[in-house]
Amino acid sequence: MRGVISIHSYRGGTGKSTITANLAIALAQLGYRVATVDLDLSSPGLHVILNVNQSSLKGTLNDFIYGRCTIDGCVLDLTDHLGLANGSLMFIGSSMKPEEISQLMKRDYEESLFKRIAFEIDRKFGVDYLIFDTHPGLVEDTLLAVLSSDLSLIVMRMDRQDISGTFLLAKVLRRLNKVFYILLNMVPPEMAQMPELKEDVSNAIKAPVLGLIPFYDEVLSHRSKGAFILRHPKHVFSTTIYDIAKTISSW
Amino acid sequence: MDKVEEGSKGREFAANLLRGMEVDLGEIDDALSSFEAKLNSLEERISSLEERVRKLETSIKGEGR
Repeated sequence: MRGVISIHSYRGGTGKSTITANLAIALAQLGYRVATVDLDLSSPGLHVILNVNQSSLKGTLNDFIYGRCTIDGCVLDLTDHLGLANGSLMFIGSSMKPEEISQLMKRDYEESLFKRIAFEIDRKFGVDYLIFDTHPGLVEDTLLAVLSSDLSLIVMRMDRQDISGTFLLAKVLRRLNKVFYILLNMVPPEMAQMPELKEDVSNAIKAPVLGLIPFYDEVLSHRSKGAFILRHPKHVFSTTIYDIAKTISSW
Repeated sequence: MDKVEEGSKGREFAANLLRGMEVDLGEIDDALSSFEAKLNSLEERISSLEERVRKLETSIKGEGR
């Protein structure tokens, strides 16, 4: 495996799951074998962006955690479903059943769970990249996902709450000696024009900035109706995601 | 990829890690303030440049008449 990537943010609503889905597809379209896991255990939603119905999940991450299915029993191959021309994309969704969310929130699990998931997926499917879509904030589940990853991307808006929270997250990840980058998302268009913005954010947060994605009405209007990158491959949002995928794959 | 390590009590482990971290909250406030100041100054520069462009456009239009 080339790497395990966790996509994270301090606050919700940063576009983390949108970026996860589109980045996973971009890496697949570049010819890689990719898997993505919805680790937003208390509020799963990645399946919606990937056009998967909850009822069509043969098994979920919850089933795997509690030993009700093996890894291949909960992995869904979305390559044909999404009509990907290159590479492949596999997906593990989390359950939206209230009783299962509640069960998972109350019970602990092994420290190496996410490493085990990555190990099992790699062993069974031989993936190049595994992407974890995590729950926002400084919570235990997310910290464990980050600890199990080779690279973390922190998605941040140009918002005071996000800036101060991302500064805190960056401090924590530095203390844990993790490799991470900031990804600026939904940047107001006039601010996105500022040539020094990436450098200024990098200096303020004391972390490198991997990319800057301006706010686009078209992405908002898309309303998570499938992956934007597949519907509008030539849009600047999509080409920016492809550039980020190319940068990651060059490492 | 590392070999899977055995263990248990994942959330407890993560919570202990967080408990062991002391963060200077003043440092976060200072970082936010200095970044805000930088952004404000950039915005002022952009406004001033936009104003200069507007004046130049008006002046060019005036000469064209």
